[in-house]
Amino acid sequence: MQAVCDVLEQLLREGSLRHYAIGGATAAGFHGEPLATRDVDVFVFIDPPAGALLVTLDPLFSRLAQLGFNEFEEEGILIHGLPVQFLSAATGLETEAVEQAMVVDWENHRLRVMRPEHLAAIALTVGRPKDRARLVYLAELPDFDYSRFADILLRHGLQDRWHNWATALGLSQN
Amino acid sequence: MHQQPLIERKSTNLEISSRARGLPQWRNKQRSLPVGEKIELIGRFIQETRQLELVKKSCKLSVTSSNNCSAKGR
Repeated sequence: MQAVCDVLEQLLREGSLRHYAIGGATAAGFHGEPLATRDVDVFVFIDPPAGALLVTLDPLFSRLAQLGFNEFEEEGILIHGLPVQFLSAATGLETEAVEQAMVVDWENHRLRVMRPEHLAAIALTVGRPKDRARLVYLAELPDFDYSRFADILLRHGLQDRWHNWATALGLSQN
Repeated sequence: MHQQPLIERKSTNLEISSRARGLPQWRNKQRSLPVGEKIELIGRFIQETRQLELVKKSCKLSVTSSNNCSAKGR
């Protein structure tokens, strides 16, 4: 997994990615204890090719192929044996989550990971059963910043949904 | 190479007392791992989840295949 982080940082340094942050269950597990998941979700900003209106991940996959990673497993490309799913940050919330991601350095490695408060807000917007479980898990983390979370909910119009979910799930709302 | 189990589920007095305060001991232990170790543990979780899914898929295939044989009277 450290090797995957190194590849992501390399892509960022050389400009294949404009910005990235790990999200999903991998990021949620980073803030607490690891959670079961099949792949690493990586939210990215990529500039569209000159003259094009649509963003495509093709240049990124071409570069990964040059680096020797050209095998896919379901939606993920295998990087050092781990399936990595690249997702173009689409909504305002995802964009903000990537821009404000935590940067964690250790032993000459670097990881950019979405904050728990953004992950919780994204779980609210997606709304699958596993997102409800993830929301409970994140909101009960000791370092969960309710003040930051409240600001995110306000900016993205999610207060009512949070109120309904928190009531249904028995979560503290402060 | 022998690897430690990802989740220690031994029921010990220590774990029971830890659970009473909130989290079971194994969860507290995983939460407080150094970044590098936690990252590697996450990678192992992903690998093991994939392996479990492959086992599940092969089990489903063998059940389906067995049912097909029965339906054909073989």
